[in-house]
Amino acid sequence: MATRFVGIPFSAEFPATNFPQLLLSNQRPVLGYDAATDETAYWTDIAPQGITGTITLVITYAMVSATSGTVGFQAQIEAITDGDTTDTDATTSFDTVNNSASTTVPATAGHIDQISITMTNKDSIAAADYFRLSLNRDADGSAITDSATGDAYVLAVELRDGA
Amino acid sequence: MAVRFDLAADRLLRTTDLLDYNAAYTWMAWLYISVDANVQVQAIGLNTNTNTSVDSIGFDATGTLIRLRVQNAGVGSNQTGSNLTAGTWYHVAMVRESTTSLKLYVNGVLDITHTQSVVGRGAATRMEIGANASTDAQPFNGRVYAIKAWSTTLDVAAVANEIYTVLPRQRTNLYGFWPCFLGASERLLDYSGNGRNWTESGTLTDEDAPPVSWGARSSFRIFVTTGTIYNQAIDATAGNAFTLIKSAGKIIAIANTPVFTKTALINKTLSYTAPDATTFIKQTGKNIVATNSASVLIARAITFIKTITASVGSAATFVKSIGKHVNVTIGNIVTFVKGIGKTIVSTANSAVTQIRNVAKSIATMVNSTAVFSKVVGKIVSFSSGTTSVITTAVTFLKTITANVGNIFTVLKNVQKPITITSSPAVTQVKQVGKIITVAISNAISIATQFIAGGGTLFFQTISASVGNVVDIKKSVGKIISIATTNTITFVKHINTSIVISTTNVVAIIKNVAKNITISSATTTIISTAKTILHVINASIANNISYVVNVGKSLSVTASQTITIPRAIFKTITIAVITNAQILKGLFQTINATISSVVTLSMQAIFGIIQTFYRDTATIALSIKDNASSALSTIHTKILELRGSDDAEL
Repeated sequence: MATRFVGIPFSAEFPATNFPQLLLSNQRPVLGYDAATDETAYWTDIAPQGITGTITLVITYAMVSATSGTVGFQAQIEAITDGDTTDTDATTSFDTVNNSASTTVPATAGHIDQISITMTNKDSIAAADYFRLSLNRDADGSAITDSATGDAYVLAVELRDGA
Repeated sequence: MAVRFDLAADRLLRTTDLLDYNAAYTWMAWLYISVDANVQVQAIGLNTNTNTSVDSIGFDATGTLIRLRVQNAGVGSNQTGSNLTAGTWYHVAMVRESTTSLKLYVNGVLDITHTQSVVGRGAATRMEIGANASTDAQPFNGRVYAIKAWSTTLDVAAVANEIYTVLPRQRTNLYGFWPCFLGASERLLDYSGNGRNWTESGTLTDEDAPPVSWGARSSFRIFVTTGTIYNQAIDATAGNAFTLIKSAGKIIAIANTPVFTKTALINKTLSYTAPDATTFIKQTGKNIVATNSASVLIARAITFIKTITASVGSAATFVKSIGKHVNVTIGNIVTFVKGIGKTIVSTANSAVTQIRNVAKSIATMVNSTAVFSKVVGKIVSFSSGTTSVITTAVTFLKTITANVGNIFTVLKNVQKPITITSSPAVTQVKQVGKIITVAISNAISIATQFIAGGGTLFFQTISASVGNVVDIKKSVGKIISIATTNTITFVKHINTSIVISTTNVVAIIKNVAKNITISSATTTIISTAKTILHVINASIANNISYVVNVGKSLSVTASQTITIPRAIFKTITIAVITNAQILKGLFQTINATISSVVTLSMQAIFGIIQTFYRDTATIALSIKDNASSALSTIHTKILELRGSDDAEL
């Protein structure tokens, strides 16, 4: 596997509504994903040359207070190729959601855990594509059991390919 | 998180080191009306702790119609602009361009221009958010986020550029920026580095901020592409495919079967481990270590100036000069096609082919095959089953040591001792300048002529022991010791002693300038007309044939047959069952003892001027003529014949 993109809270972008707050946790920038409402953040990049194979998203997170229960994240990719007809100033074209497993949170609040999501639906991302990565917590449990209370602090996201 | 103002006393306040509101400045923030109180509001402003000298952003009595207030000692007014909606985030920016221009931008669009002059206005004493003056006038009920201020004018483009990031885009003349992170102390902090923190009044809280990115750049990463120059250490681990096509200024460590193609200079140490296959086509300025069945191929003109070590099972081919040590161990095959400037050590089953000059020592060990076709400047050691062939004109300047089972062929001058032990076969076709020692079943053959006249001079001792066959066709300058069943053929001058013992056959066809001692059933034949100047001792069962003059005493004992075809100038002692035939003139005493038969030629008889003694045994004297045939009669002038028996004359 090769790291192809790293997203940090300071480089995150937000939709108009339902987005995680940009916070500092012990001076570490984090995105605070609510425990009740699904909140979404984006990262934008250009798909690197040589990107190939299975795409995997690795989410580094810690719980602000929960020491039990589970958390689930959902990730999507919107990849726009030169010549695509996506109207970027009017629409979005994210591929189907990729769900993480329902993951038991660390037993100590503040301890990090890393969740991997295989981006089976990756919108045919190819080298040089303008792409956005969308990450949300399935706080309402509509697709993944998410029972941990309190914010899930996302510290970073990493996109890997099969190189 | 955003800062929430919900009480009249709630304030973010500064009272020192304030923005100069009578000069160019810009002050912006995200603003959110939480509660429309339908009263006048002063949300963000600079003042003299009064309402008479003010620059402020607020709302009119509707609570939502935005207004810009400018007062200069009580002279001034409120200018209104857009009607905002409670519960919605707006970006507002107050920009003083001059003493007569204060502008308000809402979401990056110019909304109000206030032209009230502020010439002569007293300096502000309060910079605050939440209300006006210490009287808490016209308080604001809402949120503020991402507050930024400059001591300069930002134009409309610069204002727009600052809206959607918390992080200021313009750092020049930045007065302060306050991201309003969650927390009682965090919400007050100035992140500009200017230390212009707020002082909190009232009870502030934190609520959700607008969807504004911090504004950091995207992730930074390095990819390997064509023409990338690496100036840091690169580590490639298990299963990596790695191609470097530029110079590596740092150590490259590659482990576990990577494929490495390097077409540029490597000027650092390269370490490769099993089972790497590595091709170096450029100059290597550092050590190359190939271990564990590694193959190292250097295919182009390279000068190696460092040690190359290839161990266990390595095959190393060097086509250029090697300036440093080459160590090849166990099962290695090393081919050198250029000069090697340093020591080559080849051990255990190594095959070393040296086609060029070797200026340094070559040590070839166990079962090694070494071919040297050029000058060997250093010691060449061959041990245990080593085959070494020097096939072209090579001068060996150092000792060559060949051990057990070695086959050693030296076709050129050997200037140093050659020591051959335990069944090597040594063929010396040129001059041997030093001692040649051949032990145990070794065969030494010096086969060709070297010096004009066909003589190879041996200047050192040649020792051939048990079972050796030594064939020396050149002059031997030193003692030749041949022991035990050796056959020595001397076809040139021997000017030192020849010692032949036990069952030796010695054929001397040239001058023997030293004593010839022949013992124990030795047959010694001197077959050409030369002068023997020393004593010839032939003992037990020896047969000595002298066809040249014997200049010294001749002692023949015990069953010897001596044939002397020329004059003997010394005493001939013939003992026990000795047959002595003197075919030429005898000028000395002939002592014949027990059962000796002395045959004297005609000239010999005439030459006898000494007494002929015999022992008690029967003496049969036969006098021969010059033709060496037996005489039927004896005519002699034997002056005296002594003995216990009668002699028939």
